[in-house]
Amino acid sequence: MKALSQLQDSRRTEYDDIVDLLLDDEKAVLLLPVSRPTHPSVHIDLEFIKDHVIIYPPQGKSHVMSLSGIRGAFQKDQFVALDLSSSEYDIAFSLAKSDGKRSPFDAFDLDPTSITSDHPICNILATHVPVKLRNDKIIKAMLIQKPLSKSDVMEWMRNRQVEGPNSATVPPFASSPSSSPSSLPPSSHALPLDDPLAPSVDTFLSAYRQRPPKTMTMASEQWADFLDDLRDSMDNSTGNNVDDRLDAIESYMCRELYDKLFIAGTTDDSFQDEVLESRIAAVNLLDLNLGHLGVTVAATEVDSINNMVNTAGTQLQQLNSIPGAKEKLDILVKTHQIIVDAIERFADQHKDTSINADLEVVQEMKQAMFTVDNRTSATKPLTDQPNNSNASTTSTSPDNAPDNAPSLETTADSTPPVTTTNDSTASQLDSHIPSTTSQPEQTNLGTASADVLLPLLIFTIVKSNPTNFMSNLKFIQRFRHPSRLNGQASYCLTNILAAVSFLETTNLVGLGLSADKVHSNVTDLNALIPPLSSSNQSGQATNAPSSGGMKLVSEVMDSSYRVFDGIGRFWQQRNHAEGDGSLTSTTAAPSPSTHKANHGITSLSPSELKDMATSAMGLTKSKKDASGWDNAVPGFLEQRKGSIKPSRSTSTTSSSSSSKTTDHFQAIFQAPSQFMQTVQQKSNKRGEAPIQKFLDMKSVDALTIGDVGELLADYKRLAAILKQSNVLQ
Amino acid sequence: MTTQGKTYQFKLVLLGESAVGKSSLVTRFVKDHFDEYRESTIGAAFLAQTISLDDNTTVKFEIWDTAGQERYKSLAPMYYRGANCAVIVYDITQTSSLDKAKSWVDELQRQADPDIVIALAGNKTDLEARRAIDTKAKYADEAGLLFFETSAKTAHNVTELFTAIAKRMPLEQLANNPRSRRGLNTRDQVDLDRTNGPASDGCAC
Repeated sequence: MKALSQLQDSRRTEYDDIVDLLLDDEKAVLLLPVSRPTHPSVHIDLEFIKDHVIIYPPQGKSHVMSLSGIRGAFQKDQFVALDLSSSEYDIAFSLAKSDGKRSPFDAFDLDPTSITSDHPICNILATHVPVKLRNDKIIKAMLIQKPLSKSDVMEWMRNRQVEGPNSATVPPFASSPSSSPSSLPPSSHALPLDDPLAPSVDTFLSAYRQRPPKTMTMASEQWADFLDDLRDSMDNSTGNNVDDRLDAIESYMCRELYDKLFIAGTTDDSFQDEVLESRIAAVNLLDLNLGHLGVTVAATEVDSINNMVNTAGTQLQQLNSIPGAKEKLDILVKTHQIIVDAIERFADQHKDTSINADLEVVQEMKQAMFTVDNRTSATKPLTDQPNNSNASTTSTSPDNAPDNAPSLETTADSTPPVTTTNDSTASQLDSHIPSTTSQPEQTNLGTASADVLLPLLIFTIVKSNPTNFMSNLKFIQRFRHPSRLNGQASYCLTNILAAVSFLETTNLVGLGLSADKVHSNVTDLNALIPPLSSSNQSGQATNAPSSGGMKLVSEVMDSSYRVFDGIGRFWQQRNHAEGDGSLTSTTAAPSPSTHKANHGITSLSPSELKDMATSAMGLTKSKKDASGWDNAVPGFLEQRKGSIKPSRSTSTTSSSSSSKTTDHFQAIFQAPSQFMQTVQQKSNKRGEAPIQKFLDMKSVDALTIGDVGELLADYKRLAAILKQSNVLQ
Repeated sequence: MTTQGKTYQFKLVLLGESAVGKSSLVTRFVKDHFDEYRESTIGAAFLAQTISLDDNTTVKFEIWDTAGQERYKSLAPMYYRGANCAVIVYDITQTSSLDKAKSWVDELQRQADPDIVIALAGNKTDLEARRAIDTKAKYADEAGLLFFETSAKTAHNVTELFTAIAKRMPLEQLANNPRSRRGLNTRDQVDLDRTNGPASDGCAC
């Protein structure tokens, strides 16, 4: 958590109030994301913290609010964002420092029935997780799956506004217009279809609405057939715009039927989205870098790459807010272009630096090249872009034989006294001194090869973790007319699908990340708290049947310690920095507690743990009577009472600090296992029914051509389930 | 402008270990040919190039590059699915790259479209001094592959390679037997003719 460590230097007094607020369990809670911000540009700063400090409502109000002004509610095991308050929450109000102020809760009232599935949500993994601050104060946190962000909520609201009024749903809040289950209601009012064939299109649409095809495969075929028919009926003599007309019609049809086509109920698309999203979150926590993906990046390039990945990732994140299959596909192509442009810029930069290169650089590069050459599974460094050197040195060939040599050539060229520290490398360099006959052509066609492009795409997808990514890709596959899903666009879609496939199937350990790294990050914790690993293992054992989901989630949970650790440290640092007097006491503390302080996760005294449990229950109880709160009380709070009780009973009887801490960790782990069960239930639900009609078939003769697609899709689905549950190796 | 000629479009997939010069080879091929419309905007990963076989016949290759790192091997079927031809590249100075190439040959012959035309290319003949692999003409012949030793650097045999593939493609069969909508199709050819004018001006020099 680099961002955190950067922040540890900051000194702002705002944090004092936030900590004071959080110290009162009745007033506020800290949400602790277990995954990194989906957007790599997000830093953990005051804004981030404000997004994650949730204020409980006063009596009579049923929604909660973040310090940054996100209004939301706890529903079941989720935090649902509702909208944004016009202003940030005034901390002073809760701290009762200014009694006269108007509560920000006054202006808003929640109608729980108005919440639709398109609201930004985040899953809650655990509640009442104590985080100890450096001054020995304990605050309570909820572990959530991914970070909340005010800007996400803002964007979501903006999208809703763009969509225009929709009479079907009454807006839940005064200023926000519409809501629809699939987030993109028809916008036919805004963009009617202007085409002579509009009547037939509308006929098709209304027929589709009345009798939607049974499967998405059928839907996709009907869709393509219809567009084919339209194309046939178009008069070519009217111009060359048949394709444009078809594109416009297709876009119109996508908009009109979007809620029926996108993440349709008949598919397990949303489940797959969830699996992929969790998988990517896990990969993110394991600190995937381009090296793992087979691209070597110089330290100086990291920033530019991050910028590029941000820009490209922003593109991918837009996928979910655009209804057209063509437009979605265009986004994929655009993403490729951004990456390729960046790679070609890198190539140019290398050219520049190599011109001024001194001997040191030459040797460094030679060394790098030598290393690359000697690796059997050669990884291609980003520095290897064919480099059409400067015109003055006349090298122009983007096609120099070894892909990784060109940037060296110019270097060698411009710095003659190369000491031959390595014979083979030197001879290779010699053999590549550019021929003087080449013409100084600057078109760098050979720069962005798939060796670099695919890894960067994967990296971009990991860093941006786009919402409903699978569903969006499937939407393109199903509803972009096949005759237009060709050439470069087809290649781009294939690349993205391959990247996703890689993320879904690749063994993280095989990439050289995961286990060791994660374990090394939690090793200290394990050493400190011996029973932790065993409780972890026993948890895994009891959950063995769900090992697929378990593995994934335990990866996430393992890694969450790091985030947890980071944020804990952050808070400690805050208090530390404010000079509250704890500085000397903590640093002078005996080594165990210093250790603990370093990790931000510390042992709890029995009474503290008891407090934690009782306050959890107290909170539920005391708020229960308040009208409206019942609705907003998270369902899991009730469940959590049960899970906290055992912790309390063991903790009161145990005396050793380590076992107390173990209880604390068990408390954390209980929630994930519940989360896991829901994942498992889902997967069971999805998995329970192979398609009956195929089971009923006596022979292949009963199979129609039309069934094949469906059969294949279901086969893949079943295979995925088998894989998930580790039945297959 | 010319011709009543036909443009046949083929998907060509590039396979081979990374750093053997896959994309350099294609870049050389494309760069050495005049191209009146450059539709690719994504670098060397995807390129399109036409070759005129004769006055009436133009072949357009859509060239799909694949990542050569071992960790991406399992993704290859997504790329060679529906491919009409493949160029498998190895580096004549790297013995391991030939082993990898042979495993691609096996895989394609087992799993790809049975009609796929496969060419094996031993690249980097400009590094003759460091050659580690003898010419594999015999192996290629036995395996039914087109075979060339090439140099992307000097352009040796590059055009020859792609022209040979174009000639090997079953054009007649395709003409009589248009592919289904879901594959590369006749419509694509119609599109080309209509939107881009005759596509057969590509110079086969």
